[in-house]
Amino acid sequence: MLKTIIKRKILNLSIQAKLTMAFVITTFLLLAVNLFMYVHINDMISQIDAVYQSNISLNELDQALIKVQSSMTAYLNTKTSDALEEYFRSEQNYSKLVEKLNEKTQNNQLKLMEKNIKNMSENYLLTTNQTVEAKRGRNVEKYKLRYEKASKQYGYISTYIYSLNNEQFRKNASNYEMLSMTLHYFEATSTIILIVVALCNIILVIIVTRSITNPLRELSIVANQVAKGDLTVQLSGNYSKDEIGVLNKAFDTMLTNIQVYISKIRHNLEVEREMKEKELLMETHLKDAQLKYLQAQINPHFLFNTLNAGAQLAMLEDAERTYEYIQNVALFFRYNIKKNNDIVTIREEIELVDNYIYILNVRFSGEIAFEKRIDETVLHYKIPSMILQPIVENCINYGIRDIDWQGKIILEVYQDFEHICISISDNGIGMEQDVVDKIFTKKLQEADLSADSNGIGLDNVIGRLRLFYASSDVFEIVSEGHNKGTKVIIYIPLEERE
Amino acid sequence: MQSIKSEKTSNRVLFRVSIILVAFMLCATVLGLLFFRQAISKNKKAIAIEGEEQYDKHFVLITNNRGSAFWKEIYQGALEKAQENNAYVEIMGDNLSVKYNKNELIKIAIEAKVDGILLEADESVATRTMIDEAEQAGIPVVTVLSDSKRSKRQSFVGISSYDLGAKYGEQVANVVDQYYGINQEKVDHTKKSTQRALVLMNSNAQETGQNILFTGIDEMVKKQSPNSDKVVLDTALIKNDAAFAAEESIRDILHDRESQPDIIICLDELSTTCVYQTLVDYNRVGEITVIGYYNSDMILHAIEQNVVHSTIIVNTKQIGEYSIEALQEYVHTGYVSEYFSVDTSIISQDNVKNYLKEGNVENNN
Repeated sequence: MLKTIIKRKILNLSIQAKLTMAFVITTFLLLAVNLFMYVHINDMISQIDAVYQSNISLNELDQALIKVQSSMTAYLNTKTSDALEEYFRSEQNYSKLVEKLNEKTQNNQLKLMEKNIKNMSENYLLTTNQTVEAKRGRNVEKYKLRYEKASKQYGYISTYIYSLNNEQFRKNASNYEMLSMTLHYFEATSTIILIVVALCNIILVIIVTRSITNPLRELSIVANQVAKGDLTVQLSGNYSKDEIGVLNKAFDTMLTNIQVYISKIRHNLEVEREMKEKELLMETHLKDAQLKYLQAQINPHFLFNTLNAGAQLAMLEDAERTYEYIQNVALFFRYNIKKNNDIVTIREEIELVDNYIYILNVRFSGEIAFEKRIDETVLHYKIPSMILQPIVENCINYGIRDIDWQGKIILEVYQDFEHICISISDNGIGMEQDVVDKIFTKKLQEADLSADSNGIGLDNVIGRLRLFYASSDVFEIVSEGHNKGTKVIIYIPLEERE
Repeated sequence: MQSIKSEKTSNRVLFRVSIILVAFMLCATVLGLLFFRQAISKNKKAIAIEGEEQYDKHFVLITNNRGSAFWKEIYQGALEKAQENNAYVEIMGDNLSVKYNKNELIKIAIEAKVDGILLEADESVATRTMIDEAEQAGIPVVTVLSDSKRSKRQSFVGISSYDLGAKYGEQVANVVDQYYGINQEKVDHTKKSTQRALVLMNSNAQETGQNILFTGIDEMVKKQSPNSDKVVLDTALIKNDAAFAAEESIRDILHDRESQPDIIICLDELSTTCVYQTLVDYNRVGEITVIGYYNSDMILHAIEQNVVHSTIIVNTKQIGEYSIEALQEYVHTGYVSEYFSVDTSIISQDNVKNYLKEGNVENNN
């Protein structure tokens, strides 16, 4: 738990902090080791100093002792005040030095010797003082005796000092040996520690720098792949919180965004392509219809003008019915010329159907009963042209041409919730379901069309309607079977093409 | 994906490695420093002037034979006892550049104002004077092993000379009886008519102790041996105050084969060793029976090899202990009994193995 927290904290540090940490840790360790070593070196140096200090101070003591003896002797010889002064000075000096000596009984030979020297010196100084006193009091007997005593004591003391000096020197020599051994230890230890720490430091620095460069390396690899065009690659989601982590994250986000944009653009292109295809298809169908129409009506203008002339002629001759007939035929043909454009109102389409039925009724002497049930409010809606007439033509040609009973065609235009419905029904021979299916799947061959057809087949109508409304549910053929008539219903979506 | 995953794991590994490294560094540093510390502390302990313990009293031991193992053991016993009583014993003159004699050392001890003196005394006037001087300076003196009876010393710790003599006499009687046999009916003419036993005595002739010892030998032989009439006791003086004098005297005595004794009785370690060495040098091992003193390694081996017949040992540790006890008692009470007697025992071929096995230092009893 703690480990992961620490780990996260470390991973979350910035590069600067990471580098600083690595260097601080290593430097601190080296510093600590060095400090420790220096403290010990100092310690040892002071020990070595102390070792020789004792010898130095003993030599001093010896010199002072010699001075006391010689100055006393000089005074005894000369009795000058200078010599006396010298004696007192050296005596003072010596007793000061002696005071520093050990005076306790310890289980140490050298210390004991010091103690002996101290005690002997006290006695000695006592004797010398007495000697000098006796000399000043001109007590010849006494000062000679005391001088002898002092000399003896002097001999003992200097022997002791000399011996102590020797002993100490011997001890110091062995101490020095030990110290130098310690120094060797020290050297070995510090070298090993320094080597170990230095090695570890190097590895640590390598690791830290690797932890910095690794994400960079990863980034460069991924960037290379992206440069080669592979946008599907991704970085490992394990971002550190340092600057490179931020960079990696940004790069990753950028990659994802690019992919999203690309797929959007691709989708848009797809839609556009489909739209264009549809438009093209529409055009093709229309052109196809027109072509077929033109093929059928070789020259509608000529025909129309001719028919107009015929109508005027009938007018002049007072042939009312002939005039009307010719007028209707002319209107029928004119529709095709006039309505060259592809969108017309429902009203116009119904007018065309009216014309057509009139012509046919004249032709077939009123055999066809045509009934209209029309909701006048929807007649302004626009639909593709040439839709209703081909259907009506179809009804007549296939539905009611060969029947024995009065043929009837009903055209209904009404509105339900979503659609404007245009239904054209007949009471003809009806249609088998497989024929209906064939019509919807365009399996009905051109050859099946009768010669009387003006050439625009149902499939053309269905195709155009479907393209126009982008829906397959715009056209329905209902037949209840043989001799039961057929009903064609066109559903025009309300909201469109107002 | 694969590379990314491995990247992740490698990151984790790196992290672990770095943690381990840091830990390792710390450990190495700490261990190294600890090791160094320990190495130093060993030396420090050695360098630190051994023992800084302080004691109340400062006693000195003064003897002419500071170097001998015998005196060292006495010193050891004394030191241990002293330390128990918050006192320290110094061997006087042990590491001085000038070899002072006993009396000078007493003088130095007085000058150094020590708290008490253990002294291997003798009956000389000079020694007696010095002892008296010390007493005058308020320093109690306890004589050890050899006494200075007429001095003002506080107490004497040693072996009763008569007892010691009796021990020697016992040995002499054994040797003589072995030679002649206990049954006196038959007189073996191949054997010498008498056995001459020579006691090597210290040259300080005033010592009554040696006389008493001699008497002790004589009486014991007479008491113990049926062959005592065939034993001739004799003495020879060994000078041991001058350097190398003892060895020279012994070689002189043994030089002439005609006059060589049958039994030699040595009263100290030095003469025992010298006799042994001389016998080996002169190739007379087996000709002379040696009754020695003290149990140094050499002497024990000599007994094992049957060069020395037997040796008399004193409880050296006890000597040291008693002498300190005497000093302490005097220092604390102002009074102490005049004489402390120390045990002795005999090492011969029968029991030498025990002493050899135990090692020389510990076989004081």
